[in-house]
Amino acid sequence: MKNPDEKGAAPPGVNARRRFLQGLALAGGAGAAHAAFGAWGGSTLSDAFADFFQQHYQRMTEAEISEAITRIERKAKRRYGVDIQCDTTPAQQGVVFGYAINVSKCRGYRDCVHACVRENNLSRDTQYIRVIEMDRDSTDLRHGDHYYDHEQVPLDGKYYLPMQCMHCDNPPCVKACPVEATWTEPDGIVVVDYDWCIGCRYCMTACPYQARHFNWGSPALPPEEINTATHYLGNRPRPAGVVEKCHFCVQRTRKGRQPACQEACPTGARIFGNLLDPDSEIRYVLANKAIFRLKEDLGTEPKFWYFRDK
Amino acid sequence: MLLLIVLLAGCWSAAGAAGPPPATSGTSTAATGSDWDWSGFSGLDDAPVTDRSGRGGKSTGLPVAPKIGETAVPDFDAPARKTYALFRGMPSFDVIPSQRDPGMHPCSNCHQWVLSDPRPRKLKQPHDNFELQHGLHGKGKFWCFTCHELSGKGGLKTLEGEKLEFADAYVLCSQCHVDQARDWVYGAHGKRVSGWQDKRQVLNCTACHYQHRPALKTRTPEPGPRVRMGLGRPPHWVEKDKRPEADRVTRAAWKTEAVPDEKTGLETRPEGRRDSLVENGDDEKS
Amino acid sequence: MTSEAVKPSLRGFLVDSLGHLVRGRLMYWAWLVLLLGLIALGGWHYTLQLREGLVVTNMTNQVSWGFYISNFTFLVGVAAAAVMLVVPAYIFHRKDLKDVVLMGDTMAIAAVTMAILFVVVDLGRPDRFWHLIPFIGRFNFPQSMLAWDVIVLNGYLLLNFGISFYIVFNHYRGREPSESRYFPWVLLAIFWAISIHTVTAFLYSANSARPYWHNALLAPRFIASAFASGPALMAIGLQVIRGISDYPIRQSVINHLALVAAIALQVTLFFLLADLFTDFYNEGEHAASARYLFFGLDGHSGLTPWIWTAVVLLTTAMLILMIHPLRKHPVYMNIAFVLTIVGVWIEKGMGLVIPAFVPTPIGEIYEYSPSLTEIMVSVGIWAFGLLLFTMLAKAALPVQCRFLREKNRRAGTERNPDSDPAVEPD
Repeated sequence: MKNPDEKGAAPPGVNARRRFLQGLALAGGAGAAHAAFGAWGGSTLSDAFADFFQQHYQRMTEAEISEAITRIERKAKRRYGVDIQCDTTPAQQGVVFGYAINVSKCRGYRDCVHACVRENNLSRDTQYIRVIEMDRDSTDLRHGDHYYDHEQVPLDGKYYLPMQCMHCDNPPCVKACPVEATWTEPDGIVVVDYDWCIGCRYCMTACPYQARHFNWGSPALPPEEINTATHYLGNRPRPAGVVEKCHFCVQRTRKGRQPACQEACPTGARIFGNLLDPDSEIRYVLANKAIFRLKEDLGTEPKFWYFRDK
Repeated sequence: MLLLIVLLAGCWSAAGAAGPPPATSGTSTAATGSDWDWSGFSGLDDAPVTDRSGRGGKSTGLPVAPKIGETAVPDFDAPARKTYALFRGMPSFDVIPSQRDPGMHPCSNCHQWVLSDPRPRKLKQPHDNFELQHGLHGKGKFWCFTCHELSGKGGLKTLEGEKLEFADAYVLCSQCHVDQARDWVYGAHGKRVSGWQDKRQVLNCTACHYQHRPALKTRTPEPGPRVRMGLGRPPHWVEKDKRPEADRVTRAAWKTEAVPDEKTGLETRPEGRRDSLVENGDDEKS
Repeated sequence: MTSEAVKPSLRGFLVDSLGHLVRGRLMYWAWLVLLLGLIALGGWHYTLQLREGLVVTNMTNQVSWGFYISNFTFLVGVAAAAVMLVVPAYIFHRKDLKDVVLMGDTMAIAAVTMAILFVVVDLGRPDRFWHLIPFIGRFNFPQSMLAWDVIVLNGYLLLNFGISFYIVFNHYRGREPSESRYFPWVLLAIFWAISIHTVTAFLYSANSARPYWHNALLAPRFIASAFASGPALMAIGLQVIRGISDYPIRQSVINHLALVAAIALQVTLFFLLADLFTDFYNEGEHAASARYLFFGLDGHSGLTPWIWTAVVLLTTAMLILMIHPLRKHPVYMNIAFVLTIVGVWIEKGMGLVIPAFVPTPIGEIYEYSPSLTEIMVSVGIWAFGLLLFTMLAKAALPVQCRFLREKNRRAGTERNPDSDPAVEPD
């Protein structure tokens, strides 16, 4: 992994611009296509053409998927000058992921937020995780502070409530999507096919947790901070104009690793695991702790629990 | 005079045996077994760093004491240890030991020469920075030797006198903190550092709680969310902002005072975000 | 126009229609140039949006639908209001309405087209529009209410276009359209008109995450306000057509529409009152959006002046239309129509869409107001709709005029429409 503190010799922004200009020159005759598809992440005419006709992820043959992946990697190279590896690791058998957060332990540092931003190649104006500073005596989200900016946290009389995609078992966003660009995978992860989404944002109105984020413009992604280990349904660089969301770090968790937010949490407030494994930590939490879920009354069956020590 | 010579000799031998320099945990980049960069994990908070230059080994000859309130750094290279069975039928897992502080460890470096004074008192160099703020301890009920063992290589001991390695500190904690220990054993407390599917590896208590003052301290949070590129913070944020009027970031300010970030080339504010795609969009496109 | 030889072929019909389009007075051309200019302006701003993405709008993740969807909502209402002419004309055989029902269909076509365009410009990836085409793309039917909306809107467009075309083409050939052929379709179109409302309302009320929308009154409220704004817009359109052409539109038609608008306004305001009572008698968190809209929330009240303006406009319009002498007065009546249109545009547009996002389901407040780009693109779409209406009317009117005149002559009851004593329905 890159050390984000490393400073290059030249300001990378200059490099990025130069790379862009070189890419533009290379594209040559496809300049027209550039102008038309630029903001949508297209590149050469042939790639733009292939992108346009690319099928839904679940409908593609293996050959088509590998072609699409080659294109994704080529686009990332052209656009960011970075060699990424995009895989399509499928869900493991007998695994459904769940998450539990110890509200007593969360101290509002937002380390998870920024680990997620780096791991998942988020546009630097997007954060999948929202930590809400709440009054001790209230569970009313409306009176929480999303933008707390104190010198020191935690503050007396406050507790901190991290929110992200709850990966509902009955997800209203999946129901809402008119083109089935978002669906629940066998391991319970609600994913988005960024190459199929039409950007209508109906899923965003349907989500009770404000978990979905739209790429209003082209993602602002510093090339030198790109995480190159990516997944088709996960953290590969996204085009503009599509919706994205937390995917439980599908590129990591399907290989047995922890999601980046769990790894970054310095207080151990985050517990991730397989809900189908009776010996997993999350099952212990669900069986032995006083747990609650947010907006449970809406019937979305989130696979994301909260609990307190006392 | 004799005492001083003995003491100095002990320290020199300690320095020779210590090997690697004291792990200043702020810059340690131990191979972690996970990709997360543990360098930021030196403690739960920006602990005040005691200035130790005046009493480092060479000038005074005294060993380097750990910084106050600094938690131990997990040693991911250490071999797996057998976990003590704290509860009947508990699941098996590995506990990641902490890196040794070579200046102070083992205790026998000094205490094979120097007798320890078991009487509760105000501590002097080099122990003067161990200020106990640990529940009962802080109120004078317990003393160093409630938990510390000096014989042999030194280390810890249970209330019943059973000797323990520092790596097994959790046994000591679990004597009183049974509820936490049960949660820790079963996974509701503490920090799992292995993947969710691998053999479970968890951090020792002391990786997060400084043993002599276990309460966690406060810290500056990482920056909060932004609305989106092209727009500033929501009015909601401005209103809750308690800083002086002049420092407040208003939406209008976002639109006028963009500065390009050296690193990313993006225009950022103090809170870091680019202002407009229209003028500065070239880098992002294709 | 009547001197033209009747060419009964489809080709002749199309050629003649095009011929009507390029013949017109100076005012007609000035009107076209104005509309084309506005369309060009909107189009230019839309290319800007295509190039940069929706970042040029003021929408955010907090308020993810804005001015575009607000206009869409209003226009769906207008589109369905044609049914208020169709039902009396075909079911109750009101002859005066049957003569103008075609204009209602034309307006519906223009309104639905605008509504669809407003959705298209709201898409982040309009290039992937084909994903919405059933079988070719991947259509999430029947789960997604948006998929339903795509079907009902496009179906309504086709239905209206088909029926209008059939009738006009038959009139062009100088014969009465066969009622047994088109009546089933008219019947379908009536239900379809109600359904585009209902489905669009369900699109919103399906979101249990957003209490402002998530109530059963939304669809009825929708229909009620649409039956106020649609007839008002249509009445104004018909009067304009009557003013600039010799199409026989009787005052009884306008009076009928005024009456419909009056009743619909009463129901609308009653529903509004019912909503406000339920929200505020025992005010809970579910009422936060309504509080934001009507009174402001935590010091944010960007929409408050707008909604109270709408309430005042609608109340005034309702009072004018309820008082018989005023309703029949040509000036006051038209004032009431304009007040209704503006009032419903606020109330069913921004007033319906934006507050559902403020506060967000997790309690953030972001105050939205449209950006210049959004306004310009919307102006362009409105201009396009007016242009479409103008062209369709321009092509169909001569055919209709000639047909009606000849029919009346055949019946030996040719009358001057303007001097015709209006048939008062109420």
